[in-house]
Amino acid sequence: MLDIIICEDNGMERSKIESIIKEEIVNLINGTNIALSTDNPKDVINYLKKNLGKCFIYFLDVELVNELNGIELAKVIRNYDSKGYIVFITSHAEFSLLTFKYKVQAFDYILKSDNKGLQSSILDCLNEAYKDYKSIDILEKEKISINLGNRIEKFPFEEIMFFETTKVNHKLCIHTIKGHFEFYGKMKDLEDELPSFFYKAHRSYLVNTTKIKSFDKTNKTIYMVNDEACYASLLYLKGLIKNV
Amino acid sequence: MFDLTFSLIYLFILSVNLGIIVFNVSSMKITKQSIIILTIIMFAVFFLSNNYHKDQLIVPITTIIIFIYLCLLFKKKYYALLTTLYAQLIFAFGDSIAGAILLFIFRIKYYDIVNDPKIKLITAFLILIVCYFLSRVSRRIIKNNYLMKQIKINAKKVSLLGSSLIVALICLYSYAISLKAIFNNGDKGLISVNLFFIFSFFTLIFILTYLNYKNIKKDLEQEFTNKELAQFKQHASVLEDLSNDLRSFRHDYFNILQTIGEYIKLKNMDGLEEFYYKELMPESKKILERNRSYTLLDQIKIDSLKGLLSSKIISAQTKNINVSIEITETINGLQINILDICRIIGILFDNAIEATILCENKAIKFIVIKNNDSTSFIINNTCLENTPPIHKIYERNFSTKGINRGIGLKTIKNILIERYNNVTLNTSINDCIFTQELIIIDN
Repeated sequence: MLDIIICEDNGMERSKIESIIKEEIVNLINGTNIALSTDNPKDVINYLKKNLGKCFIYFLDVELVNELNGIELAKVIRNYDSKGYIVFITSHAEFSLLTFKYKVQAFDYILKSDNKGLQSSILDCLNEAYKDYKSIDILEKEKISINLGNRIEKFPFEEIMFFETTKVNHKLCIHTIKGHFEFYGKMKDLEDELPSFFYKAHRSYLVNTTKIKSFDKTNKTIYMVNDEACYASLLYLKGLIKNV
Repeated sequence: MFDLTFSLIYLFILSVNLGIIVFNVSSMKITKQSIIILTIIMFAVFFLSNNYHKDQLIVPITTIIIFIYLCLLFKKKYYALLTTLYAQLIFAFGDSIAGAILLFIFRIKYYDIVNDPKIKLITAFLILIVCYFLSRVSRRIIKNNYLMKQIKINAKKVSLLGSSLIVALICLYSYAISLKAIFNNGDKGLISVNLFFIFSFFTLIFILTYLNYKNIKKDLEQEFTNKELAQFKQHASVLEDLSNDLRSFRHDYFNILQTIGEYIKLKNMDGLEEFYYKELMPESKKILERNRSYTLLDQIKIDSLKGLLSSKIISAQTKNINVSIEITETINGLQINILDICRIIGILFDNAIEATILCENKAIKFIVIKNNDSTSFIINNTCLENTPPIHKIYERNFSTKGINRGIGLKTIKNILIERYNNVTLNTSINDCIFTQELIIIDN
């Protein structure tokens, strides 16, 4: 099950976090415990080396006074455990969660405030992490992971409208309900990876057929549920109509 | 019949030649289709004027047609004019070089060049080759020059250049017509004198154009430095304010310690508690949270980018927008031209300001993240709930309040398409947060 690793160099803070977690663990799914609680980032790395392939929840102090600070430690952790849940704990909010998310795909970010706030934040984190961990196997099948150059983002099929080629070689653009994202890849690889309801309606469009709202035959234009338009070519038209 | 075929091929080569020159000279992208259409139009013009023996009209007519065609294509008068004139000049230049080669190296008589269809064809081929190389060379010169891109923005400055080119073309044209009459006599001495004139004329035009280019470039650079300097002054004054803040905080700090000391001396714990929670905490919080992130800008070591960011942030703050900056690493070099990154970030920031200003809670977050092999600039801002979806924003001429916001994003896309295959732009709206993200991947 999902075990917990703590790295915090302030002894008082660490025991506070430990006790909060121990208290909460009882109420959560059994079989979980604190695998490691330390003030030294090296211990964490050594422990991970011995437990490759396992997935953990991490509580890391951002301002570790060590060769490695919390963010650097998280970077190393990512080499061993790409799916784990990293939660940062910090005393002052110089950076927001967004920065941590972009840098190391952090899961959450807790401010060291009074005891009560800390307790409820930790509890929230644990709950969210477990919920995510349990649903991960089901959801993973309905998402595609795409390397955006600075991070890997998972796009649920449910949100994708279509993929489009751009004027730049090998640069593709994914159009989702939220926006446009560019990345490098090949249409062919996407076609192979995605389920069959993604249909290549045109040399430069791979369309999510479950998200088509209407189709204009004379202009060969496909309108998606968010009113975004893309195009079909005569060659693939028949297959498209059959597929929808 | 045979003659007709030859002369048709001859005309065809000439029109292809013009098409190729225009394609090579233009620093804005022209699609192959539009070049083919242009070539066909040229061919028709050549054919008609040849048919009615109005050869002297070819140059003015083609000049006007190319100009109009490019105008329609680019929607930029000055740029179309310059390209047209350059194309025509290169054609004329290539023509005279080819003529010189045939006359002096291959010792072919001028009479034959004009009247023998086979030699005419060879001449046309030679002109094609010479013009191709000339236009390639000039394209390289222009491409390396940042100026051509600036012309698109700063068109009025090239009116001088444009008019001098027009005069040059007209002179050359009338000169060429009178030359033809002289050449028919076949006096070699006269011909070489005339060729010498043409060559020196071209050299002069080239030098003049080059000097003109340099001047414009200098002007633009001056303008840029002035702007940069103004931005730095602004940046310095903000830093000064911050350090003044700190000085007054120091002063306050001393007073605070004294007050606490008084409470302790009197063992007035209740009073101390009240002072701590009611006055000290809220006040220090305000000081600690104020403007702190602004100093993080110093992590950016690219001066012009820092200046631009500083001025954008200050202008946002004067509009009561809460701007927070998060930069975790020092940003040194970027794999993108500095002018381009400044322009792009400027547009992204303007977009953010424009969108968030309509909101109740005006806030912009600017984040720079450097990873092992990429640097990302992320700007996100609050926006209204009824903000249209991203694809609407990309549609031409779209804007939320009259200013051409969509054009901004389109401009960025065009810069990236034209020059960078290592930079991507992501835009999204999620829960009333509009995010623009520029990722520069190190090669």
